[in-house]
Amino acid sequence: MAGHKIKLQSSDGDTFDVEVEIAKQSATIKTMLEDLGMDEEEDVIPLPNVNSAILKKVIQWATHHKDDPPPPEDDENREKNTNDISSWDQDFLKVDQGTLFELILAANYLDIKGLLDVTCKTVANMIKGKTPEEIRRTFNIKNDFTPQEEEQIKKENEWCEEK
Amino acid sequence: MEYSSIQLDDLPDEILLIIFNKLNKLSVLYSLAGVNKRLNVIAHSPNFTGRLNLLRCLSDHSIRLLPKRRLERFCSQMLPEIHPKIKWLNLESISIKRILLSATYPALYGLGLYVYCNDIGEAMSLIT
Repeated sequence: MAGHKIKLQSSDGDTFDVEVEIAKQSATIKTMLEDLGMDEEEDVIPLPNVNSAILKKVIQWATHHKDDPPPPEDDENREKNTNDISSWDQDFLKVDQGTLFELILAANYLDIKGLLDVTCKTVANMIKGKTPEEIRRTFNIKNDFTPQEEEQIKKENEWCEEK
Repeated sequence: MEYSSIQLDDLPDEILLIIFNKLNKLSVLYSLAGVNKRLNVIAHSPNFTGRLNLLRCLSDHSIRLLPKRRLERFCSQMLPEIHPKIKWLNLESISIKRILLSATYPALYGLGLYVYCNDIGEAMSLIT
């Protein structure tokens, strides 16, 4: 039924009224609705792995993309292309790194393929072309190699220092 | 929105693999090998070393050689580390000889050769 709504509850207890068709972009929620018969407006779907701020963003994304066709299946042989992110999604994903990673975790948990795809592509674009040292700086990653191990790695990877 | 403290290195391997699979395999080796122990292990996993494109495919579908110095260093410094894991190589005319003669490939079962007609004879002689 068009406009029929369900309630989604975040890990911190906030509830959000969301149209069923929008919520069903999440395969996890779709399964709950279809397999468990949770189709009454009074039913609340708990989402213990997603906090309120992230759930709000996920709903915003799903609402904007509610009329999108299903994303294509993964194809190992398809040419890697991370430059096909729409301008709306690019603006939507202008967030701090922590929020971006939480969106990835939420998209994975909720099984929203399109959101997972676009968030992972955004991180891939942040990695592309950077040297290991630049990756450490960009993502605040600690170098946990011993000096001896690092010397060995440096030798192995000298090839990529010069383009 | 509250600031979140989750960082790239906090993501589970399953998610990192989804992200890294958006990149071509040489990019994964280029950017992530040696960052830290965990990412180094992932970058050297068969997922990223099993099948390599040692060429550049441009947007007009033409094939180009990798930059010479990168190719040389790849052959002399990366191949010794990963050559036993390579199962498939895509190569172009100019670098075929250099790459095939730089290491042995005990797991190799497939070769993609992007050669000009004039180079087919030499390419075939290297693999027969």
